[in-house]
Amino acid sequence: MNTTDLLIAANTVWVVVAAVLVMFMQAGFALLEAGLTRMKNAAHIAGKNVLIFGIASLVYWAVGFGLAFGDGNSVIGTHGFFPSVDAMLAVGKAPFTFFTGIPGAAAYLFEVVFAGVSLAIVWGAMAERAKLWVYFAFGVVFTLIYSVVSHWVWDSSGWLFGLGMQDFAGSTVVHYQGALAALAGALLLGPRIGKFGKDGRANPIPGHNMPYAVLGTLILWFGWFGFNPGSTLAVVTGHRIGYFGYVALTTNLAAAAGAIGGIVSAWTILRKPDVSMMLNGVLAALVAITAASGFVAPWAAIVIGLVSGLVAVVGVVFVERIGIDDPIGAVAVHGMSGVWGTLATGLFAVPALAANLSTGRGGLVYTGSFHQLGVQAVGLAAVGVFTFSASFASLWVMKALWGIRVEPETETAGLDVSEHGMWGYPEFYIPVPGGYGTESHGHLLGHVHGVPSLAPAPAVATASALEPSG
Amino acid sequence: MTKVEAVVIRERVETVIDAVEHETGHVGVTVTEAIGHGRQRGVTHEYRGRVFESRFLPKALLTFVVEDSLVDAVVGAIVDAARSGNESGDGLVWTTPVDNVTHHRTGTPLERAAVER
Repeated sequence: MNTTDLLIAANTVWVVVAAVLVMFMQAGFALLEAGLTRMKNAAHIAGKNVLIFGIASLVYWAVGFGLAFGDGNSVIGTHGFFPSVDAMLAVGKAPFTFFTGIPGAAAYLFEVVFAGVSLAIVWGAMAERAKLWVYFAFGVVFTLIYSVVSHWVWDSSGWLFGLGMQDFAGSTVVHYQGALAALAGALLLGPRIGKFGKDGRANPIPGHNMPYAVLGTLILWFGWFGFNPGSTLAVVTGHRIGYFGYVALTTNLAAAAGAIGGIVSAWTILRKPDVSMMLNGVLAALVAITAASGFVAPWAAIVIGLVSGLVAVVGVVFVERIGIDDPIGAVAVHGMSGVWGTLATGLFAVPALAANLSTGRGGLVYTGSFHQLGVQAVGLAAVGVFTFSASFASLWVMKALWGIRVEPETETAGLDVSEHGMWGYPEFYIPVPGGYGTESHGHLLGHVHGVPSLAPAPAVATASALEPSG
Repeated sequence: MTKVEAVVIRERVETVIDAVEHETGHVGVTVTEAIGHGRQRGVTHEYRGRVFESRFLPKALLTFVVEDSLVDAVVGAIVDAARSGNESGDGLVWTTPVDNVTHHRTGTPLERAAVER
């Protein structure tokens, strides 16, 4: 092995580790979203993260990865669909010449977990009222939309990359896009029953488990150490060895400042140090630093994080004020903060770091030039128009043809019991194994005539359901 | 004094309490999370392909302790507000005479307080 081979080996180790960290963010979303919604939907909302990651993984393998990073033109990749064994094992060869430092398989793994995160964001604003099949249908559509935009921004032949847009790990590509689709979904679904009173005032619908939301946020913070630092795709970046360590530093500083910014903003604006707003502050900061993490100085990461905490608090309240029901806060935390992070990169990008990454130029505060800020704004506008209209149009068609919202009775009873036939927390409602009303309880053995006529079925059926399954 | 107890579906808890206050002026209620069943006999669940019945559905038990003169009005308000239009599962309301209803704060039985007033 020569030095190049060793470098590829080291790159691959890091990128695969980072991919696994990002994959674990699905666990963070599952807990965050289940915690911030009601008990009657807990199993549905947590379980949906597994479903959508399954959909994203398959669609991305089949066509998404080729659209995003296959060799092609400035708008889409046109090669690398249903990639072969050779395509997945080769390094820097067609159809994935973009990845010069890692094999295609490692690149697929790292990029698909991002597609999964973007898709996870979509459902935050659509929680507690969307039909299950919509997850399948729109999961496919959104993965394709996502792949096209990631080609524009990240692939070296993409037109926004060519303009010099700086989006290190996807404030625009991953978070802003997810939030745009989330906004389209929330608008088309309408608010949950009871969210807005007859006078239009918003009623709070508190989440049912704040420790879940806290754990979910910490898992996301943890996973973000793969998200941003992994986006170096290498252990050597330009002439900087181990640059991903620096990216991890800016990521952590921003998240820390976001926690402070979120809780202080809530304390001063809402008059209470709301725990969920502190969590939103952390996530908004992580979203914002995602674009900037490779480009900015530590002090700028802190500024970005602090402002994000404010954006999260004001944004969540604003979205509710204009009549949009976003149970998790996806539009504010991922959308508004995604915009802030993308623009902040145009403000704070250090010229030397931008040069080392060969992406764009220094930001306004260093160069006095609005050039980079303008490029960032063009990117946001283009992605905003494309992703929102494509998402809105496809969901609108689904709504017009089949309907995307569950029936009111289903929504009232909760999606757990009405869609899946189970409770998220069932113990309270089911006869305990061996307890009264089950077959193993002596009361019923050999006394069939003594079974209360009110409920004969549950005893037998429940006991058989509890047999070992394998 | 009379204790009025009502089993209602959970979505109607606020509606029923508001109706009682609005119709009769009575303020004060205890809400207990409850499970149970009437003729509807619970709900069908599925777990790993097996279908089973859970006998119990989530309900709420509301307890009001009211002046005897208000009982008819309170019961009427509850019945109207708790009716969801479904075929079954809306619950029941019933009343029980109770004695020695006493505020912890004053130590005065409420019956006597009412007479003294």
